[in-house]
Amino acid sequence: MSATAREVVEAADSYKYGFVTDIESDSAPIGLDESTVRFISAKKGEPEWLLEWRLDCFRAWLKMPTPDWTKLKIEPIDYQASTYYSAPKTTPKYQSIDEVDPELLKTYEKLGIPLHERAALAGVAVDAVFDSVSVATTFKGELAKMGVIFCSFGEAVREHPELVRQYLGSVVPTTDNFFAALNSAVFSDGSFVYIPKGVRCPMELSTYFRINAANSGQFERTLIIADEGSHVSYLEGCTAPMRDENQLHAAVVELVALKDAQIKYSTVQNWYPGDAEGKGGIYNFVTKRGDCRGDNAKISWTQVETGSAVTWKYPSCVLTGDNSVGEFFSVALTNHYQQADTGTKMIHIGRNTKSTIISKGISAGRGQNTYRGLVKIMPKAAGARNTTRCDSLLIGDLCGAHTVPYIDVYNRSARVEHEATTSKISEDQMFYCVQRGLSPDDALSLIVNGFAKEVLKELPMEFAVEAQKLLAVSLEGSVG
Amino acid sequence: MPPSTRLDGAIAMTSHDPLWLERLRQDAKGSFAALGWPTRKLEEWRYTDLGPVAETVFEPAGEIGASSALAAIVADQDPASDLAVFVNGRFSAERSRIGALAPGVYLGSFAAWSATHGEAAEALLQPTAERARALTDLNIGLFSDGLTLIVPPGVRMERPLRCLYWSEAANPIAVHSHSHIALGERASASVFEIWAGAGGYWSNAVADIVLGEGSQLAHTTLQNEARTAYHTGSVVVRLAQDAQFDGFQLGLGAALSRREYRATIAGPGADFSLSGSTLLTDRQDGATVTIVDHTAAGYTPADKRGTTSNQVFKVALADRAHGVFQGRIIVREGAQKTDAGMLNKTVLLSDRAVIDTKPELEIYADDVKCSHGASVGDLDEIGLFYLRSRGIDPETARRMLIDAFVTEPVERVADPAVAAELRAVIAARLAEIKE
Repeated sequence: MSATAREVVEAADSYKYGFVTDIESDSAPIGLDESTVRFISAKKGEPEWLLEWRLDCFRAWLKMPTPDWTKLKIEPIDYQASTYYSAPKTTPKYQSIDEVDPELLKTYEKLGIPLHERAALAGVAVDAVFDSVSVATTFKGELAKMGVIFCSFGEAVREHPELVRQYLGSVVPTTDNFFAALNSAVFSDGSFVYIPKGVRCPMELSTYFRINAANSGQFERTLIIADEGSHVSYLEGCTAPMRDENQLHAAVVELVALKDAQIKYSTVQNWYPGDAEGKGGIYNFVTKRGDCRGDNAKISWTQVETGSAVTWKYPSCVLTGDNSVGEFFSVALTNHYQQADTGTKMIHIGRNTKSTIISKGISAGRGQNTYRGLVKIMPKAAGARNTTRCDSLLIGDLCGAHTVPYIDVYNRSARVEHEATTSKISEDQMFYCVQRGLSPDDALSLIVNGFAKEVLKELPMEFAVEAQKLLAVSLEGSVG
Repeated sequence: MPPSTRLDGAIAMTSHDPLWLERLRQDAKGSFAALGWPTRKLEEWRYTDLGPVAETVFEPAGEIGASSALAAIVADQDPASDLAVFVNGRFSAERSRIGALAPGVYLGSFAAWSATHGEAAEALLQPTAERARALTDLNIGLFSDGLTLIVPPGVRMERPLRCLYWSEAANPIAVHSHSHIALGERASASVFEIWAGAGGYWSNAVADIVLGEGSQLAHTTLQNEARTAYHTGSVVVRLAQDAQFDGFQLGLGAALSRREYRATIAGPGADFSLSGSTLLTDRQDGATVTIVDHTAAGYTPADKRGTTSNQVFKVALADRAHGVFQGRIIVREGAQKTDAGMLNKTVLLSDRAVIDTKPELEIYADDVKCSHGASVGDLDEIGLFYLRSRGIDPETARRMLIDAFVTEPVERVADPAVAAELRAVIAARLAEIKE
């Protein structure tokens, strides 16, 4: 075996973040029925109304069929075979970082996020979700001074029930789809953000989700409310330890932007994609939706999707308020046997609403990448405007790139433009880079990052750096 | 009423069929009964509600007496072309006008051809993965007749062919016609189909087109059915190496229409071009569906050419019209060097017109060039301003722009007589559109 080939094999074999932390889990019994839902709710000390809400969702979920309209090829999932709740055994409220279980801290070290350093250096408040229960929250005091609420979902239920009750399920109805209903029934924890009127959140908010305990699906629930004239930028990033069995993940994210408010939501998703033979990997079924409820509101989604064996995700914007703006910037990369079916929905309801969609799909190995999007202009959305660009890049002759745009226009004054192209990395580009002394992997990474630049530049700076490295790591060994 | 009971009346009509056809029809009817009417739950029917057709009780199509409207339209046809006339789905020899044909050419009734060429017809009507399902099954179960055009290798048809499909009845009738065009190696032909009629009817047409190596077919369709009629059509095209299909479709008629093209581009160097215009008003509902499949056979390492396809569709919708464009390009694994493009442009001329468009790419090979584009909007304001600045009144300026928009794809029609006729029909329709 040549040196390059060996490196490639080694790179493919070693998933950088693949390790298991040895912490005893306080898990729900395997399986899913009403008692599981009650167990989760009781475990979290939830009020009666929330339990009832969960149970309604669960009953609705039982009647829903598994969606089969995607291009994804998935083995039927046995929903009775996993546990739906697991918490680290000790869950005290830490006053300082020193009190945190050292095992846990080591995990963060290995993941490359020294919590205290990162928080201090980057000025980022990190509400780290470790296996569904928040263990540490920083910068809380500073945010509290401005009236910003940034806490775990469970805490919000206890301390701000009126806000949660008002907005929970108001953007993503409980019966919206199969996975949203499942999440609504069994969600474990997640983040809650409320930005009061006129406040510009002084720092980027970020949450790191990690999946840790074996066989436990993670079901986070995120709810962000930006009150009138406020502004917030929220970051979400993910890595998960190596697993043999497919892990189920079904999150729901709801954003509410009131009059003149702006929400920017950025995601870097790098969960375990399975090995080179397509074994293992995370099943990622996410429902993300934002509602521009007031006039002049703006919601912007940016995502870099490199991980997961299966990605099913359509961050959407409902543009209800007049002059509201929706944006979607996406880079999705599939390698080996990964499958991604991702895109967005832009629903124009208000007058002079505007939306922009830029999607970059990269397929390598046997990866299948689908852009699926809907642009709908409702009859009252006079002057609505949409621009969509979908570009696909193919690396190798066994992968696939698909574009499935739906455009429904009910208003004559709307302008909708859609463009899509598909091409491969040109040999000229590769040759040029290689003859200048770049290795094939570096050349590929350079070209791919150039292809994705339009989207990457939308990410906050520290994420942009991480995302570029991710694209390079994910494509290692694809050419040469 | 379930479909199976609806079919019983029609079975008697076709009982004099040869045994092989009787068997095929039974199987097809069984398949339709099992599938039922296409519903909007099927992705390919997502935007078209066939409810009005499914709810109508149709009588089997019969003969018609003297029809002055039909006589007028027959008299109107270009005398330099051969003319094949079909009335309520049956070939009408007395109304047709077919000159001397080159040896080996068959041009005429599908029923007559299949009676003498049982084996070829039987092979043709076998179920395949390429053709559409329920409505094609129903067509095979019930069709009465249609066109057959067989051109042997090397023969170039001297005169263009016109096919007039006329339907007329007092009570609703269902007309199922099944056509077959086959061109041998390096053969060529030009076919202009006109769909028209009077009264209430449902025209459900299927055409099987097989293009041999290096053959060329110009295929133009004018769908100008009665505005009280329903029209569904499925054109299945298979292209061998270096074959060329040059298609055009103008959609103006019918209360509800849906035409689909299913092309399999199977040989290197083959090219499938299809363009069209749709102009609808009132409560007309019209859909165009294309599925263009670039198969792996299109590329062989020995012959480094791939296959090409190109589609341009323009849609103009007035009043409460509903337009649909669903295009799909598939590039199979190994179909390298494919070059495929698709463009759909729509203008909405009223506040209540609606367009649904879905231009889709499905690509499994890397050395390809594929693109699609779609745009929806009102007329170009800059264009309007330009015309206004030249002293043209707003009404005329708008009409000029609409006319230019809808007529532009007609440029691609090679036959000047056909192109001129299409422009005239568009102008006539535009004159009656209220904005």
